[in-house]
Amino acid sequence: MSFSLAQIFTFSLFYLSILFGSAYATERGWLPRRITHSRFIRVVSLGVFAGALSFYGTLGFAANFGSSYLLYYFGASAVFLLAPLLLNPIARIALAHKLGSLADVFAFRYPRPWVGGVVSLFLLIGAIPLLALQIQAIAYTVHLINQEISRDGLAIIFCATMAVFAILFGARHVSTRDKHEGLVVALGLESIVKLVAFIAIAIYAVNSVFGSISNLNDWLLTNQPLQAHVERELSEGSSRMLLLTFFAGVVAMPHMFHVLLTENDDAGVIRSARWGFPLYMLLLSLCVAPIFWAAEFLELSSPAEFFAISLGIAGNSETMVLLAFIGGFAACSGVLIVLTLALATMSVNHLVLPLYRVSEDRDFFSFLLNTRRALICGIILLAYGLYKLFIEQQNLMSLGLVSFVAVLQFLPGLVGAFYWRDANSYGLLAGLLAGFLFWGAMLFFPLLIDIVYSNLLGTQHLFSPGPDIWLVTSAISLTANTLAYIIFSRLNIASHAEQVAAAECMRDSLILPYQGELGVSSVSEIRRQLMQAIGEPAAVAQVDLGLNDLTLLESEQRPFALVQLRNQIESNLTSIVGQTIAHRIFAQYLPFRQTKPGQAAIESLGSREYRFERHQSNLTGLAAELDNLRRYHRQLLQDLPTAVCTLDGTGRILTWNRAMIELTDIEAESVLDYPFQMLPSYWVDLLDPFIQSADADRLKAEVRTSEQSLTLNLHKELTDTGDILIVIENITEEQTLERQVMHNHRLAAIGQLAAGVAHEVGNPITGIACLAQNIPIETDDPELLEISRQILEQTARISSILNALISFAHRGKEVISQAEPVKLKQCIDEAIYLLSLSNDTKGIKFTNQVKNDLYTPGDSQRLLQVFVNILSNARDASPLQSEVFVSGDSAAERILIRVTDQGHGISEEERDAIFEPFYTTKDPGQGTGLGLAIVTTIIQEHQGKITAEPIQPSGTCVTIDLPLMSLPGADTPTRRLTSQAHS
Amino acid sequence: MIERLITFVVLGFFVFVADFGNWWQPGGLTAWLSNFLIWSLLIVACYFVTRQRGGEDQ
Repeated sequence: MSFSLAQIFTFSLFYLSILFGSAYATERGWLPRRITHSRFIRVVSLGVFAGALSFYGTLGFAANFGSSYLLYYFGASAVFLLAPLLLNPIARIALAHKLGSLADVFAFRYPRPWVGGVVSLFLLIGAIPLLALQIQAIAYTVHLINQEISRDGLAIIFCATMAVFAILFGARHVSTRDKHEGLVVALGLESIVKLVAFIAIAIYAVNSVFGSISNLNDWLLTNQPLQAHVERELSEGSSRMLLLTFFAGVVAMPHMFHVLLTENDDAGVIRSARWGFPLYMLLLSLCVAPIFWAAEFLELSSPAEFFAISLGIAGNSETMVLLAFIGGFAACSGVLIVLTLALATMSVNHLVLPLYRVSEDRDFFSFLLNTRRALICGIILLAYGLYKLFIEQQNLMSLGLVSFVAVLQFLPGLVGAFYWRDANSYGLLAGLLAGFLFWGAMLFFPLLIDIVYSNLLGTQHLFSPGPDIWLVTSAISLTANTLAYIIFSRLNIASHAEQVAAAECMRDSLILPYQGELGVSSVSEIRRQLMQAIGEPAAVAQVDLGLNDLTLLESEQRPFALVQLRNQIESNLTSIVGQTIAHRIFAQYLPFRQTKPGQAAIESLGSREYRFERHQSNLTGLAAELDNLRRYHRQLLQDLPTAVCTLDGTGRILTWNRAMIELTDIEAESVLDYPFQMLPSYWVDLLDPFIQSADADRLKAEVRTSEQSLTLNLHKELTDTGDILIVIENITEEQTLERQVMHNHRLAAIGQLAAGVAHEVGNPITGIACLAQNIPIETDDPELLEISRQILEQTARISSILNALISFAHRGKEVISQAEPVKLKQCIDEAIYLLSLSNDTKGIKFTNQVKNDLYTPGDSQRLLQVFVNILSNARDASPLQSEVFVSGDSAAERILIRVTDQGHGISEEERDAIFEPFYTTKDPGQGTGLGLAIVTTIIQEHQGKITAEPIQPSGTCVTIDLPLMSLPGADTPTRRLTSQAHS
Repeated sequence: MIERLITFVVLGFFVFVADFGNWWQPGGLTAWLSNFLIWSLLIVACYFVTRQRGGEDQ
């Protein structure tokens, strides 16, 4: 069977259009977000690991080593099955610090300028054979289905297409913060396609080749010699080494890191991948044996690696051939795209940027993007070059193992990073050099030389990387690597930065790194410093991004907030330029002031809290217990009902508890670490003299905030560390109550005095009045009669005043024992009628609009007295021919009666004073000043209250608040006031 | 508990890898499929662990 060039081109174009289309549709937001951002897609996209080795190579491995092919799938799965041991710590650090590649992880843990470069270089060298392998697999597959097509030409087209895809969908954003959603969706689609294709081929193998599962089973049972013939099992040690090699492949291969951690910031995906990825690998591995058995059954002569496609050709099934071709295409293109992207990003950040300084006038981000794109093309070109050398080499697994053994060399350094505190960069370098020396000397260079030699001379291969050579190489190189790593780490002491990084990486760390204090004091200074390193546009963008991430303001000046901002920007920049460059920029332009161990006390409390919170999840055992204790005490301080704040020696606010927030209405975040002088002026005016004074207490201090007037007791204590502890008691309510009690006492005294005076004055007045009444009997002298009348009139007035005094003196002593429902509208009508009998009506019109159904429990006569008093006051205050308006309504079991006049109104000072005894606004001799005081008393006896306020444009509104009495039928009292009235 | 069991089984597989490899050689399909039984159980165990612990292991 043979496919024409047009057919192959159409198939490829169809698949690529789906690939590009899905990526483009995702980027444009055309596909539903619940699909494109689903964990399923993200977990499935991890299937990118299964490249040509998985789709083709494992079949060759099965042919050579039988069931040992499972080690490839299980070794990769083991990384996720044992995720808490290595994968989760790596993910924790990578996500927390936005580390975009394995080189970043190494550069973070072993902070030397050259670490990232060394790791990147070795990864690049080690991974190129794997890239070349993908090109070779595709080229050979096409060659199988059409021998006339030029493999080289096809390989070039394939490489160019993949480079375009990688640039379009994998290198659009400069920062790894911005995810390439289209790329992830395309990878997910690829993984699904190759899995479906592989399963379909396996089903075809069982159903079409064997006829049924039982036939396959019978064949297996009756062909033991054949099965034994093809399965030369590896030795125990070789199997373990192979398992470890594939385990390391998943951890250290750049494309896996890229998909798992660079293009993903959801920890939930890593959790789901723990079972999802092994399941994916399990399904793939299930298909290998049936395909292989079917090929054996048919006695196919093609290389075992390509049995998947040969099966369809042998069975003359175009569908199977097409499926195998598309599946293999998906597998190879996925690895080629992502591995190239990951290597390009790593190379820019760790190989180009450290060597090439971007001038300030150049757009830093554009330079990064363009360099990354150029490197994508360069790396694919390099892979193509290597493919040209490997063109005659068909043993895919052996070639793939060259790459896998290379990345195996990173395993000791990676494990040590998270489990060995003393591990340092010298150990890492020594280990990598030793490991790669053996890898290069025993595996890579002999293979390269052999291929070049055989290609040039057209002779047979002198060197074949069989199982012995790569197993021996991996064992020796790994041993040498590990020994060198341990020995050199032991011989050298880890630097302070390495100890800090180790503490960060190790979960059980008791060391919480303190970075020191920044040498800048404002956001603009940070921006200025950054400009020198990455130019103005990039610096402005990064500082704005950092401020936005932390929701800080441009005016921020708190040292600990500036440290937070600095770390956030460094973290953000790490996601763009990698750990090494970001660290170098910040170490040079925004360094911390180094402090000696004894100086750690100068660190602000906020900074310490920030560090504790950041490392909370790292603490276990005693450290975790101590942290819990710290949290408990902190919470106690926070929950204290008394306002507490502490200041350091310079006046910087260190703590600000919840009661303090409620008292001042100022949030802790806006004052912590700021000098207390930035508080509102009324607080500064209160605290500053108190802090300066030698007094430990200040009682009943008055402060008028923007909203209220407060009375406070202040206490302070100087702590052993030189901080000032300030406790503030809010006694405003107590003070108000105290004033009220004093006021009541004063009124009671006035009442007693008034009663005494009334009693003493009353008797002589009565006598005078009697004598004056006798004068008309004794004489007809008109002058004396007039004098008698005036005496009687004045004594009547004195009696009236005395009665008022007595009434006031008895205030609060009245008990409304027989409260009856009082219809307020009727009561007010009656009061208006009584007032109308007076000669002094001034033409005032009273309008009563109180609702008919408003009843209050009480004494109708006393309430009548209230309304007569209030309406007469309104009349007196009103201009001629004006109107006094009375309205009444009910709400929430209360009645509000409003008496509104059009007089001159009352001032703010008069509002409370008019209800005081002996206070009047009337002209001398016109009022006793007791009317409203008595009204207040009566209203209070009715469990009500009275207030007065000016209205616009002129006038006064007196509001009487009384309890509502609900009556089911009109004028039928159903409730009696049972409680006694209180004064 | 399940977490420790998973670790124990996977590391056990690493130690006794050759024995696992020989397991399926003599038999037919049943013996071959038994290779995947432990693997499948590990996946199920991981599924339940991740569901139970949620974000704890991060």
